[in-house]
Amino acid sequence: MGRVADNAADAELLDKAGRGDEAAFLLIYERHRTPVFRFAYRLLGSVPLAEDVTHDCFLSLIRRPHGYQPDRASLRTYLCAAARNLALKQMGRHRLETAVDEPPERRDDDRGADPLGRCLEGELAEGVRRAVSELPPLQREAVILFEYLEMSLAEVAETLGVDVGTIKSRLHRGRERLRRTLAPRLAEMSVSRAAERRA
Amino acid sequence: MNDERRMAGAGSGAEGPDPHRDELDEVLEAWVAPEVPRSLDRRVLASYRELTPARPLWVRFFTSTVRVPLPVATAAVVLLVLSAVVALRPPQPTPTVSGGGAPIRSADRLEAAVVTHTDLSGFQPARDSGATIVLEGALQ
Repeated sequence: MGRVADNAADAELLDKAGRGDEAAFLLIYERHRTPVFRFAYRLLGSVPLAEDVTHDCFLSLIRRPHGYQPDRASLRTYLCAAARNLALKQMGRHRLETAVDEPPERRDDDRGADPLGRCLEGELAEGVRRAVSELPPLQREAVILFEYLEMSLAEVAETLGVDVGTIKSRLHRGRERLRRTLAPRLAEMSVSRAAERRA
Repeated sequence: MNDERRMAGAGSGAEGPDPHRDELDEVLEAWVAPEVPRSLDRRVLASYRELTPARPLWVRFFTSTVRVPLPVATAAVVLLVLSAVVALRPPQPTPTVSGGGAPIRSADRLEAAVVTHTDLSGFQPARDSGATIVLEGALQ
């Protein structure tokens, strides 16, 4: 299905959801909850705050279903833009510009790995999380949307309400900063790759 | 990875492609976001129910939809079509013998009386119910 058809289908579901059709609402929610929640989590660095943002984001969608215009953007972009505004409010409320209050995430498939490997991966994940959290907010949101939500440059630009050139610039600066912060990790990775190639 | 992503690290494009693009991406992937908590699902649904007016039962009946897996839906449609074909099939014509055979005639009606039910009126038990054994050779 094309983007326009997807947007129209979402708009129709949203219209039904606004009139009390719970099944339609659940379809929308299940389709978009994960990117919205993860975007909020990565912006705020806190599961409870990300929950609040995601909750308020979907509720505001139901309160004003006609605020979404399918000819302008996808519903995911619209929801992420709403989540961003709500997250900025949370940041102001909790002074969370660089939130590092969550324990490092662990992948499910790590359970079988050796303890040392788990420890190293946890350390790496925490390092990345800290590096992303320490980015200036405008660079951070661009990096999160582009790298983690895998949005296109145009979608990131729509979500953040700026032009594509600005997004390219923010991404470039954000990535440069990440590369500097994560330089030891990148060097380790280069060494291990070179060793793999020799073996 | 598409070209847009590959070139993203190059800013305006003046500096050329990012040589560390793949390694940085790999390192960034180490930070995995958690799954959506179940508590959030329940909370959102409860808030949605509070927010939207309860619809009358008849409205829900006429506007509700049911999601059916495709194989089940296909099987149901096939069954429906087969039933319709069987129900709408024209009745089979009476078989006729073509050619020079004897003409078909209806079966003769049985004139003899047929016992359709019995009762025990007039029944008398046997007076002598003693059994007599007759050997096979004695009858000849």
